[in-house]
Parts: sequence; structure tokens; C-alpha cells
Amino acid sequence: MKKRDRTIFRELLLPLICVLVFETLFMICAIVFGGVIGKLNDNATDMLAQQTENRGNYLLNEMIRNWSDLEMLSDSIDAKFSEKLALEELTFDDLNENSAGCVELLKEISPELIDTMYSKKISGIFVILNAQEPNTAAAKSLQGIYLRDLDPMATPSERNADLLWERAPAEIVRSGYIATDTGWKPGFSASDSVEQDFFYKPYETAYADGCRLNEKDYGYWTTTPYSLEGDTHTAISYSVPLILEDGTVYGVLGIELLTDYINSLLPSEELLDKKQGSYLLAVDFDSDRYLTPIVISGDTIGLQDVTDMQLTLSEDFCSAESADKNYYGAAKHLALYRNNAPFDTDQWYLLGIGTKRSLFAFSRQMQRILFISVVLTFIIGFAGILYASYRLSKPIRTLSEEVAKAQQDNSMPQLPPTGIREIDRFADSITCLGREVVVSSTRLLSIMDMASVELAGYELEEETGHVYVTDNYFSLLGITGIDQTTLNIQKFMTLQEHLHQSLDYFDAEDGSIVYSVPQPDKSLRYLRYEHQQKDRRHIGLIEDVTASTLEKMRIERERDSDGLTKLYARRGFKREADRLFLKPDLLKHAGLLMIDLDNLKTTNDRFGHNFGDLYIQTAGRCFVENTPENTLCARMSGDEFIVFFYGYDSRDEIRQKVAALYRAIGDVEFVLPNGDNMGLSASGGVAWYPEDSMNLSELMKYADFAMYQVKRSKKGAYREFDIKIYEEHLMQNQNRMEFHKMLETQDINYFFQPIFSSADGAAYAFEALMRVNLPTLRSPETVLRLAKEEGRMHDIEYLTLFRATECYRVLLERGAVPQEALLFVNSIANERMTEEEEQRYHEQYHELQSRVVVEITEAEHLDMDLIHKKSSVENFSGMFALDDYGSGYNSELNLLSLKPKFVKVDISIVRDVDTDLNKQQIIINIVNYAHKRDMIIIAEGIETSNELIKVMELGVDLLQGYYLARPAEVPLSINAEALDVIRNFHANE
Amino acid sequence: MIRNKTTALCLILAMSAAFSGCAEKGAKSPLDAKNPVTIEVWNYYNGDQLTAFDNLVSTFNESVGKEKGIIVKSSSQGSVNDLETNALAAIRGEVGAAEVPNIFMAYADTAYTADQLGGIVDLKPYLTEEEAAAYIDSYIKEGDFNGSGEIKIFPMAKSTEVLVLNKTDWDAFAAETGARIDDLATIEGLTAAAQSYYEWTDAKTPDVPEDGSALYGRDAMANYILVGSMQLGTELFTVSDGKMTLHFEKDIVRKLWDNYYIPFIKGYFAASGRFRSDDIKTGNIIAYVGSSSGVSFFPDTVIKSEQNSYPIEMEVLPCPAFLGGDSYAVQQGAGMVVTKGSETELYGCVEFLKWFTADSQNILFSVQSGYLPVTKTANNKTAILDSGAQINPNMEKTLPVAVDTVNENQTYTTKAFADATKARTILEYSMSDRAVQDRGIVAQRLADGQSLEDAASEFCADAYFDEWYAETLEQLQAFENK
Repeated sequence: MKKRDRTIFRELLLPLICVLVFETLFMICAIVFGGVIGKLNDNATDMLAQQTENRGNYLLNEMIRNWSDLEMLSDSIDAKFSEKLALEELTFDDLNENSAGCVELLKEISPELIDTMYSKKISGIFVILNAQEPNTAAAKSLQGIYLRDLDPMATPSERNADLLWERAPAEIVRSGYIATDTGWKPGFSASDSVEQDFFYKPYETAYADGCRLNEKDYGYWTTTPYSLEGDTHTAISYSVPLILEDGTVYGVLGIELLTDYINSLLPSEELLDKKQGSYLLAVDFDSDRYLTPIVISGDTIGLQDVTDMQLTLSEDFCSAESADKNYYGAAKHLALYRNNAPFDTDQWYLLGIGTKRSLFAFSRQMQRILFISVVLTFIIGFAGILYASYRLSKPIRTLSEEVAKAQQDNSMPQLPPTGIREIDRFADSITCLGREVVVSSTRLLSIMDMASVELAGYELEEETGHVYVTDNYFSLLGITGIDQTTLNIQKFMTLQEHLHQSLDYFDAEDGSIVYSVPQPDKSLRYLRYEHQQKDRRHIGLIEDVTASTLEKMRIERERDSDGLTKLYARRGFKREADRLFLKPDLLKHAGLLMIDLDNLKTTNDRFGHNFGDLYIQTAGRCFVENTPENTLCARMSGDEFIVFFYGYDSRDEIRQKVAALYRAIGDVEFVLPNGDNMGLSASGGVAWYPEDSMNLSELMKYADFAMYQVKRSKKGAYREFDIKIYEEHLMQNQNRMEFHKMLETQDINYFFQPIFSSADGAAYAFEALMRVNLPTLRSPETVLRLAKEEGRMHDIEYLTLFRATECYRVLLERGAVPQEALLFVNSIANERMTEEEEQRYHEQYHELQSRVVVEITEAEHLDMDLIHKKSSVENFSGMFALDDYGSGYNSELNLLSLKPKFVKVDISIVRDVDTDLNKQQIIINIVNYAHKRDMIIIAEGIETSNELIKVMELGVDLLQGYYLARPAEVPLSINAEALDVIRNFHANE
Repeated sequence: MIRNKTTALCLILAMSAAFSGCAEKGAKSPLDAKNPVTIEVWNYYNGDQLTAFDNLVSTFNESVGKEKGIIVKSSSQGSVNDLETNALAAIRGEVGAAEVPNIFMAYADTAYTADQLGGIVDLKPYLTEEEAAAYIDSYIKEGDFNGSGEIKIFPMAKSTEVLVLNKTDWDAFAAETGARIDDLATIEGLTAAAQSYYEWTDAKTPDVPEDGSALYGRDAMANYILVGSMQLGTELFTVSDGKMTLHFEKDIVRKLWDNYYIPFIKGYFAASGRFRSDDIKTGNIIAYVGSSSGVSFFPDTVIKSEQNSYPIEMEVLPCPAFLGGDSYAVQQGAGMVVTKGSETELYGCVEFLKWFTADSQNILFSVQSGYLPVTKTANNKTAILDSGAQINPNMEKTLPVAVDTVNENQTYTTKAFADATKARTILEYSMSDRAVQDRGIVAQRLADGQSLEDAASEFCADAYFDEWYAETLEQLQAFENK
């Protein structure tokens, strides 16, 4: 599959964007599934709840323990009033009008009220007196005072300068140093008293209830902010009825908290960031969880009108939510009333409230930041990737465009610097390289011009279709009129093929082709052509090699011919013959006549080399002149010639030609320098193609063999090669070679044949027998013959002694032979080891020496001196055995001179001894002779049980033969059958 | 394609650079509408003034404040004394004190003290010369404590003193006695008229002896003494390098005594309750000298008791001066002092104060509060009347008189020195408290059946004055060269 062609920009961009997209997805997942946002929201509500709880506790503490703690004050007022009643300074009725007594009472309680107001840090305090039925009170204004402090948190002013009268009788206003507020009135109108909850509710409840409870239990917190007539401030208040000990309700005492003041005590900015939260005091009237707002603190930025907000408490009363779900509040219950108190249905709550938007602003902001971060990361990452990819790819693209342009224009590319070091370096290298290529190509051209031989070449690029041909290419090849500018690859190839077809050529030794191009002057021009293909690029070079080729051809010619005879020399003949042997139909029947000039050496010696040369020249000429034209005549060396007949239909035809040649040779006569006549004599051997061999060198060998046979017998003649003689000759050579090799490598083994005692069949001794195992050389007899022929008997003697003893020693060590058995070694009678060898033998095998029996084979003539010297080997046992007794060769004489310990009766005597009385007699004789002289008789070659029985009957001491045990590398034990025979024989005795 | 992307990239980079650039420029004016700064302002206003001030603050918060990111929270500290005490306590970091407000109203002496504590800011760098020049010179100079041209008190609203008259009751008196309103132009004339009014009312109940009513009362006794002394040729406190030198001239003080203490113990003058407007309200007096800004407290009804009340008409007259004295009128009214805070807060403060004292707002506040505008262009009868601001009848009567007073007289205000407030308190109460106390004795004696002559004779004696003078002198001398 072909890889798509992609730009570097794309290659950079795609994987990076993949990574970016993955990262972005990962971040989004982390945000979405991380749970952080939910946690942040929980934190926000928790913090809101905590703040609300704290603030609520503070407020509750103020409301219960401080502001609503009016017992002391009310007691004091009660006491003052009771006292005045008792002193009759005042009656109940006085309380209902601006009476002096009433004013006096109010004046007297004023300082206490002021003190209480200051100490409780409240914005107002009031006492409203009423001694009438509540409903009739509506008709008239009520007496009382209502003091206001606009800055309750501030330290009290000198002369109460920071207080204002809201309500007080004029007399009281004039008497003190307290200013009146703009809305000051001497008394409380109905709308300021009986129509107001702060008066009516506690008063009426206590009145209706008959004042069974404490004043405090009738205490009431107004749930709706109110304003006094003519006043702009709104406030809430807590009020208790004033009850005398007898249960008479005579008024109301209350404290007032301006809503502004409450607001200042509820710092909403502590709730949420950027003051987005508010505190809301609200009441749940009927435990229906529906909240009625009372006071809301804080900037109402983002908060709608309080009255519009329908808040409902959650079921655990800990939070609240607006009907439109836009607002959330943490709720703190303010337990203002004791259980079952008259107003305990009013359940007060402090809410820390804010829009969910602002409450969860942080988490939303976090979300936004995270979102923006993700988007920005993506955008910046994307932009960065684009930019980086662009930055990286641009210079490369520019470079590649420049290079492409340059390629089109065939000019050197002008590579602008990119500012990227690696790329610039790369571009510089390319430019440099390009320049060098240009320089080197022009250099090459100039070198080509300057070369002494003419050079031309071409280059083809299949991919680009580019063809470059040197101007002289075609002219050199003898073609003119080629327009090189219109040349394309196809056309060039066609031309090239045409040239190849039409021009003569031969292959040069280096694998190139040499074309011979005919020149107008009829001479030839030799052009060496070499072609290379790398991938899809072809490069060809032609080189004018005319001079060198001609020179080479001259040298070759000289080398191939013999200077003296002008015949082919060995090399020339070889070349010509090789060429012929490639074409059997040209050879048909052929005969290779190998000729050796006889007597050249003597001629040279006697008449000098000049005459010798003449002799050779004459011979050569004779060969050429007396053979048909298609005969190859060659002088191989000094006096050796080859005459090769070929192209005949039968051997006989050739035989006639050879015979004709020999006749001609016989006719040649020289006049020697001394004036004598001398004939030409040449010995020859003929080998036939294809009968003897189809191989040139084999034919030459055969012919040579045949020739030497002639040379060895009757010179001046010729004979044909006989494969049988050749092979025999070869065989002998082979045996001889192997024999020598055997001696060299001492590659000779010994088998052992046991010699048994005829008394009990026990192994008495072992004879070491040579075993040769070579490709052609197998029998010990051949070995001995060759040894005799080659004069290597001594080697055999030496080898036998050492190798046989060594093999036996190994057997002894392995326990394959009994410890006391003797070793019979065949010694060559007329050979002995050198003293040095004898010494070494003694050193190596002295422990065995006492058991070695030297077996002397009878020979034509035994050199007794030599034999006795054998016994001079140090430590030698002195035991000889005379082998092959009775086989001929002066046996008795040997017996006498040798005086052997053992006499081995030859196999020819033992064979059929059981039936041949003569043989029996011979044995009887030798046994007689031997036993009298303490010699031991061995019958060897026993092959049947009868023979065995017979030799035992005849008194032979020891037994040897195939019937008992064959020789083996590891000696065999006695044949069981033979053992039985031996035992039976003795048993029958 | 690539080129386009590069362009986009460049744009993004350029934009982000521009954004950061914006952020840096923003540092010049640190205000941020999205992250508003809250400015806490303490004032000592009550009643209509407080309403007027709060209304303007609301207007500011909803317009300029919202636009620029400023939220002004104002709170009244009740009285000027409370305010100053609280502010100084806050600046000193006293235990239990509130946090220091960004702006608080203060008289020069408090501002001076606060400045000595290192708590307030010179606003000059925040105002161009043009802007500073728009304010009435003497007002802007008030906050130049060291003479370097610094502005440590931002003029906001000023007042002077006017005589306010219950014209309904005066007209009744004038009709029967022929008293002329011009009599009230001088202090001597006023004193005489007061005696005449006492006698005239006393005569209304022949069966009850010495039950005449007082004609006149006075707020701000210190002003009476200080401006009176000035009119009579001597500046009581001269200040150089923050140190005060006392000029408590006995003959001048005697003249002041004779025109307040003496008529007071005789019942011609009266003062009960905190402000004289309260005395008007309860029918105790029918005229008083008080701050033009206090006119808003002037009641439209006299409520002697629940059963006895009637509507009255108001008349405003220039503050009476000593006959033949120099024409000095008091210039008073606290300025705004800006405390140290963040740069954002300071910008917010100045922004608010400039807005508040811009002609339209300043005039609006004037017509609602009785205070006088502080810029040269706004402190002008025509400008005020033509401003189109809704103006109530009382103010319509007051402002022209007050503006004329300021413009036609040399305005006088005490210079700041250490413990000036305490010194001023002595002036405030030394004579008046003695008067109230002694009037109590006289009243008792009258109730016991003595004649007015007899009852008062002890207090009219020179020796009595001398004794009081020596006592007061000693008290005041304590502040000299502190």
C-alpha cells in the first residue's frame, strides 16, 4: 500500500492536536466528575449557615437577656406608682389625662428610663399609661413618654444631648435638656397606642387574661415595623404590660429598636462577598413554615422588595427558600417566648439570605474560570500548535520549494536562511553538496576531456525521466545526427539496444563489454562499455580502449605461440583446444598425439643448443607439414609436442593420418655438424576422443602415459593408450602411496589369535597378526612385498614390535588377556631394530619383554648372526619361535641354528593331517625331536576337529587355528566345540 | 489558510496585551463599578437635615455611585459633640470604639485634633486648582492648618445665625405695644424689646404677679460671646501656630453679661430644653437666635399643652448685633474630613464630596436643610431661588437672610487650637448655666412673693459679675498656650 503523501505541517499538527484534544477532554472530565463544584456549593451554604447561627445567637442573646429584660424597670415603676397611689398624690383617673400627678410620675421615672435606654443600648424606650378599658381608650390620647436615641451605640452625651422626645408632656420637655423631635407630641394619640400592637397586644392580653401571669409572660415583640405619627423612622419594639400587685393593668412599658439600628447590628456584609447577602428577621406566625419578613438589613442590591419575597422554611427549619427559588437563606430560630406564652405562636427567625446566584458565585466563578481555562488552554494550545507547526514547516517548505524551483531551472538553489539552526545547517550542507557536485561534475568533465583516452557516458533517471548524455557519446559509438535535447529514456534505450545488436563486441575480463566500432579508415576502434544500475538510475560509461586492446591482443598472440617453431605454445594450444572442446560436433572423433623428441638431450650435449633448436624447428615444421590443415600442432615444452587431430568420422581415419605422420618423421634427415646424417626420432602416444576421454587434460594425460610407455620400451615409435595398463599402473602407484602413508602415520593395527594348551585348552599365548585397512592395500603380504620392494623392511620390523607390544599392553591393562600368557610377535628375520630403538623399546615395554616370543618366519636364508643379535635386546626373554616349520626353506637347518623355544608346524602340514600319514610322520618326528630338546611344538592352522584330535594324538603341545579361535582385535576365547573335543580327548585317554 | 491562523493568533495576542493594558490604565482610577467601594459617612444631622442628606446620598448611590462603583453609607451620630467624640475615639483606636469612618463631619478644632493624630487626608491633590477655587475662600481656608494651602476640611454646608421669630405672637405684641421689628436689629434693642414683652405679657394676668413671658432665647451661647466680642472689637481667642492667646476683656464681657445674663434672670430671656426651637414649640419664647440650619426645626404649631395649641407663622431676621459694633457674623457648620484609607476609598470620598457640593446638589441640600451652599456661584440668593429646587416657605424666608448675612458681613469662625472644643464649651455653658441656675432662684423668690427687683438684685450686683468673671477667666486661661 502506498503511503499517502503528507506535508510536514500536517504531520506535526495532527498528533499534537490529538494530544491537545485528549488533554482538554481530560480536564473537562476532571471538572465535571471531580465533585469539586458541589463541594464548593456545600461550603458556601455551610458558611452562610455558620454566620447566621453566630449572628442569630448574638441577636437572640441581646433580645432575651438584654433588651427584653425589663423586670427591674417595671418593678420600679410599679413601686413608684403604688407609692403615689398610697400617698394619694395620684389616682388611676389621673393617668388618663395631663394631670400634674401624671406628669410628675412620668418626670420621676424619666431618669430611670434614660438610664435603661443607655445601658441597654436601645434606640428608644417608652411608657404609655392607661387606666381605662382598652376599647374606650381609643377615644382619647394617652399619657406617657417616648424617648429616642438615634445613636444607641455611642456613649451617652452630656446633658442627654443626643436624646429626643418623641412623646412627652410639654412640662417635661421644658424642664429638661432634651430636645424634641420634629414629630414631638405631648401625648399618644389612638393611632400611636391602642391601634398599635406594641401597646394593645400586651395590654389587652394581660387585661383579658386577668393578669394571671407575670408581666414578663405577656411580653410581646412587634412583628411589623411601625412609625409613630409624624415620625419618619420605623421601628420594632418589645413591650410588657405594667401590672400592679393587685393585678391592675395601668400601662405598657417598652423598648424600641429602630429598624436602621437593627440593621446596623446585622452586618450583612459578613454573609457573602461583595455585600450581596442580607439578614432578614422574619416570623412564622402559625408554624406553617411560611415566613413574614420584618426587617431586612444590608444593601438590597439584587434583592427584590421584601414584601414580595415569599419565603418558606425547609422542613428542618434550618434553611429557607423563596417561592421563585432564586433566594436561599440559612435560618436561625430565635426562641423569644417561652412555651405556651401568649405569643409563642410567633416563631422568629433570623435568615442569612442571598440570591443563589451570589451564594454560589464562587463555585460559579470557579466553574467559569475552569471553563475559561479549558477554553483558553485549548485555544492557546491550538494556536501554539498551529504556530509551531507553521513555524517549523514553513522554512522546510520554503526550502523544498526553492529546491524544486532550482531543479526546474537547472540552477543552483538559493536557500534562504530560516533561522532554525539545524535546518539552516542542513540547507547549507545541501547547497554545499550541490555546489560540490556541480564542481566535481565539471571537474569530472574536464578530467574526461584531459584524459588520454576518450571517455563518454550517460545517466538516466527513470523516476524523473532525466537523460544526461555527454556530447561525444554517440559520435564515439559511430552514430551521428542525434539530437540530444529531444532524447528521452525510451529513445535512448532503443538506440543503445540497436548499437548492441549491430556492433561486434567481446566480454572483457572485468565483466564489461568491449565494442569494436569500425572506423572510416577501416580500422577498428575498441570501446569499453560499462553499465551500472542503481535502483532506477542507469549510469553508463564508454572508454576508448583501442590502444590497450590492440596492445593486449599483440601480447596475447605472442604468448600463445612458440617463438622457435611458430607453433602454438602451451597456452595457445590450451585456448584453441578449449574452444574446440566446447563444440563436440566440431571435434567428432579426435586423436591427441603426444610426441616427445628422442635424443634431444644428447643432441644438445653433443652439438650445442643451436643445433638442438634446429632439431626442434625441423621437427615442428615436419609436424605441420605432414598433417592436415585442421590439425592443431603445439610445442608444449622443450622436446614435447602435441598434434591434435579432430573432425574425423572414425579412429581409423586418424590412425592413417598418424601413421602418415610417422612415416614422414622417419624420412627426415639431418646433416650433423660432424657431417654424419641423423634422422628425426620421436616417441608418441595417442589418446582418443571421445573413446578414452572427453576431457582435454585427461586425454593429454593418457597420451602422455602411452608415450612414456613407448619411451621406456622402444623409442621412435608410437602406441595407443590402453586403459587397462593405465589402471594397473595406477593401482600399483596407489598401493605404494598408501604403504608410504601407512608408514608415515603408523596406521597399522594388530589382531591377536590365541594359542591354546593341548592339555586343558587354556590360552597359553597370543600371536600378534598385522591388519592393514587401507583403500587398496589390505593384505599383510602386499605390505611385506612393498616393504621389500621399497626397502622399508626395517620400518615394518620396528612398527610390528612397537605396535604389537603396545596393542597387547592395552589388552593386558583391560584384562582381555591372562596375565601369564606369552606374546608371539612376527619378526623379519633379516632385520633388526637399531640400538636406539631397542633401548626405547626396553624403556617402554620392559615389564612385557620377558613374555615376548620373537617368531622368525622361515626365509630363503636366515642371517643367524643378525638373529642372535636380536636376542641382545636388553631384558629380552630369549625365546624364539620358528614359524612355518615344514613349509620348505631348510627347516631342519634353521631348527638347528636357531634353537627356538617354540616350533610352529606349518598349516600345510596340519591341513588334513588326520588323513595323511606322511604329515603325521613329520609331526611325530618333530615332536620327538623337539621334546627331547625341551622345545614346544605348536600346531597352527587347525581348522577341523579331526585335525585337532590328530595333532593332540601326535603329542603337539600347543594349538592354534580358526577351529579354536579366529584372530580378533580383542582375543576371542576358545571355541566351545573345540574345548569339548580337547576335554573328550583327554577323558578318553 | 495558515496565514489566516497566524493572523488570528496575532489578534489574540494583541487583544490580551490590550486587556492587560486596560487593566494598568484602570489602576489610575481604582474605582470599579463591578466591585464598588463602600464609603462610610458620619454626620450629626437630625430631622429634615438628615432626611435631606440621606435623600441626596441615595440619589448619589443610584446615579454616580452606581456608575462609578461607590456606595455611600451615611449614619447620624446624633449630635455634633457625639460625632466628634466618636470619631476621635475611633481614630485613636480606643477600646469599644467603632471603626473609623471614611468621612466624618467635623468643626475645625476637631479636624485639627484628628489631624494632629495623623488620621486625616489632605484633599488638595485630589482637586484641581479650578475646583478648589470654586469654593468660598474662607471656607476652603478653614482646613489649611499649617498655612501651606492644604485642604483638610472639605466645605460641605455652612450656616450662619439668624433671628427667627414667631411672627404670629410677635404681631399680637407689636400691635398692642407698638414694638417695631427693627428693634430686633441690635442686641440692645432686643433686650429692651424683651423687657417690654415680659411686661406686656405680665400685664395680661394682673392677678398673677411676675408671670411675664420671655421673648427671646439663644442657641449656641459660645457664638454669642465670640461674635459679640468680635463685634465689640476684640477677638477672644487669637491663635498662632496652634496656640491660643486669650483676650477675655472684662468690659466687653460685661456688656455681653448685661445683654444675656441680666435679662435672663429677669425672665425676659429664656432657655429650657435643648434647643430654642423647642421653646418656640412649647410657647416658652417667641424669638430666638440660632443657626440658619436650625430653622427647619421651627414648628408650625405652638403646643403649650394638648389642649392649648395654635398654628404660628415664622419670620426670619438677621442676627442682631451690638449697636455700633463691627459687622461680624458667625460662619459655622462642620466640614467633611476624609480619613486615611485605601486609594480606592479616597477616590470614592472625593468623588462623593465633589458631587455633593456641585451647585445643583448643594442648593438642593440648602433648601431642604437650611444650610448654605459652599461655592461662590451657589451661595447666591438668585441662584438659590432660580435653581428650581422645591423650597418650603420657611426656607424661602431663611436662605436669603442667611446668604445676605454671610455675604454682607465679615464671617467669623474660631480658629483651631488644642482643646478649642472644651474652651468653647466653657463659653457655651458658663454664662448660660449660671443664668438658668440663678433664674431658678429668682423664680423661686418670685413665687415666694418677692418683687422682681428684689429677687434679682443679688445677681445684678457688680461683685457677682466679678466673681463669675474671675471664675470663667480662670477656666479659660487653662487653655491658653497649650
